Amino acid sequence: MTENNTITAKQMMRFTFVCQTGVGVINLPALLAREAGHDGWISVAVSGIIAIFLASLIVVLLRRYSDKCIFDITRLIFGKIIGFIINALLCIYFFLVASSGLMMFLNYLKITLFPNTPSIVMAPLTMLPSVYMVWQGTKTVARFKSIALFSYILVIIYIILLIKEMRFSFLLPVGESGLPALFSSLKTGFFAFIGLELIAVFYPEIIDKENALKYHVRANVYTMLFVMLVVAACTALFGENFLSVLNTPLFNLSRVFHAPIIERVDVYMISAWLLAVGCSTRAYLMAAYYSMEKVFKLKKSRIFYALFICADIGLSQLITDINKAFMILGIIGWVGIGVIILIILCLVLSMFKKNGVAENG
Amino acid sequence: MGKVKKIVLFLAVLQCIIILSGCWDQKIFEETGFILSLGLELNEDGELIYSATMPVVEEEIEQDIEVLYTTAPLLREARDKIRNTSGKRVEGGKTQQILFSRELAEKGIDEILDVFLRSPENPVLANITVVDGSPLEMLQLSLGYKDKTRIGFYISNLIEQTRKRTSTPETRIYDLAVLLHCKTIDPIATYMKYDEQKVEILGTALFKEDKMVGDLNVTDTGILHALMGKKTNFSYYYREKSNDIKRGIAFLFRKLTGSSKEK
Repeated sequence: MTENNTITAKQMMRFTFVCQTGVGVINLPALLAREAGHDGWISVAVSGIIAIFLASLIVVLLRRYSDKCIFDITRLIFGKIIGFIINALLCIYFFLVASSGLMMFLNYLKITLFPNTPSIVMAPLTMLPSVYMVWQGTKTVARFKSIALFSYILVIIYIILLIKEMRFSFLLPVGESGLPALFSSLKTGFFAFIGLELIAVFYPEIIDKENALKYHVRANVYTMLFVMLVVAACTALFGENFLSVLNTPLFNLSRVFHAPIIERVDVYMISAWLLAVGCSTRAYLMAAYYSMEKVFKLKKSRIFYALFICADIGLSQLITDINKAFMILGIIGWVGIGVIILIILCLVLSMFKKNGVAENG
Repeated sequence: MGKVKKIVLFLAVLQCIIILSGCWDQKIFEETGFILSLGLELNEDGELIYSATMPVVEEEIEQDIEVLYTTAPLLREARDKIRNTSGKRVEGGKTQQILFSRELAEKGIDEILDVFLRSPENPVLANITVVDGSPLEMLQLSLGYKDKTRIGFYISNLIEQTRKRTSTPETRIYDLAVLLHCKTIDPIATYMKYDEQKVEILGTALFKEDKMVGDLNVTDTGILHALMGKKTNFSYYYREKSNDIKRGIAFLFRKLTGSSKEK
């Protein structure tokens, strides 16, 4: 634990919430409309309950090992070599998520505000706040998440303003898509909760560990409510058929409010939401840098950090087609589910292999 | 790091943020032509006639509005052709209304609007309007409306005011797209006509899927709003045959409620 990385459970809650919702919620309503029709919000509610349960299990596991993170736990359970391999894979996962987050950020910028500016110019500019904050440590990154909450308040107010434009009959009859469709859409709904595993990385840095469970559950509840609100609002406004052909429903939502003086509200809304996208991407960048330091026992080095940032930007430039980027996001979602399963597996194994388990665990 | 070094670094970064991002996507106001009204109709050969009005802001030009038109099978192609004649970078981001000729509306309008939905540069809040006649002719005649504001704003204000009295429906591009996709509610749109002096709202254009199939006058539009359970504010006039100066009664409907039962 270092001074620059210590955070409170409440800060971790904001960290998780922003990380889960920033990028995924932009196109999730369309994905759910394709799979569950107008019942996408039910899919989010059910997968939210599952996510809350899994999030609680992860904190229970971490409690058993007192102040150890997932990288220490895997070594204790699987041994040094297998543990190291698993940890290295986790580092790669966090790094790839950070790069694909930046890739999505740049793609969104391209299709919304800056169609002609090359991504390679935008990437360093969008990365500037992250470069500073990740270098400063988890505390700075987590504190900045409070600023991103402004974007969420704006979106909620905006949705309230749109209520009179919505046709709630588009949400009826409830459950029409049927159990098989709802069941198969749960995996897509669960993508919104990817990010709940990050607590396993930063757990030793949480000062008030006794509050960790409470706030981690709250983070997932807030994510569930926010995503449900966006999915229901998009469905009630666009209808399931039109929604399913949209690429970025959250941004399309920002185009339909008729404001008398500010004619193009979408420009402001998209700009505000990009703040949340940036924060979400930064969470994984922080996780990647922090875990690399831990796993490979690296000392803070400017050269390594510069290479790390360059690699992140370089990877983000590989895919410039939004449809391919969405495909990558889908794959990341699946890998994320795999990581969560791995952490739960560690919990199960810790029941049998009590090496390193805290006395009161 | 020294204080001077920090300031230099900060200023360099600030310069990058301000200047770099604007290099490729800058749009200079004086060089841009904003389409306010967009007219679409078919010519005798069945090709799309694309007409547009743009405000003129140069002091030395007397006319405050410019009407441009061309023929092309695609909206994008037509815009590019207009760019070749206007001398400005023509942008559709401020389009107030799209005017379809009745003839075109009866053939179907769904595929034409596709570009508005896909491109974030185009507004989805432009009013969908059907004109009894030729939109191009209407735009050209509007140059002679000396007592009216620019045609784009004139029509916008006209639609807004008549909408408040529920004499015409509120149908924007995204409304139409939603209704065309939902397959359960047929779209409606503003219906209007024009002459040498003015533009007049006639009521509602009724669609079956994307094809116009009929129309309603302003009074019937009020009743339609009431039937749809929307806010109503319209007058109904009962005429009486007599020699009095005042013949008949005017009813003002502000709030209508009702219920129906299926047997």
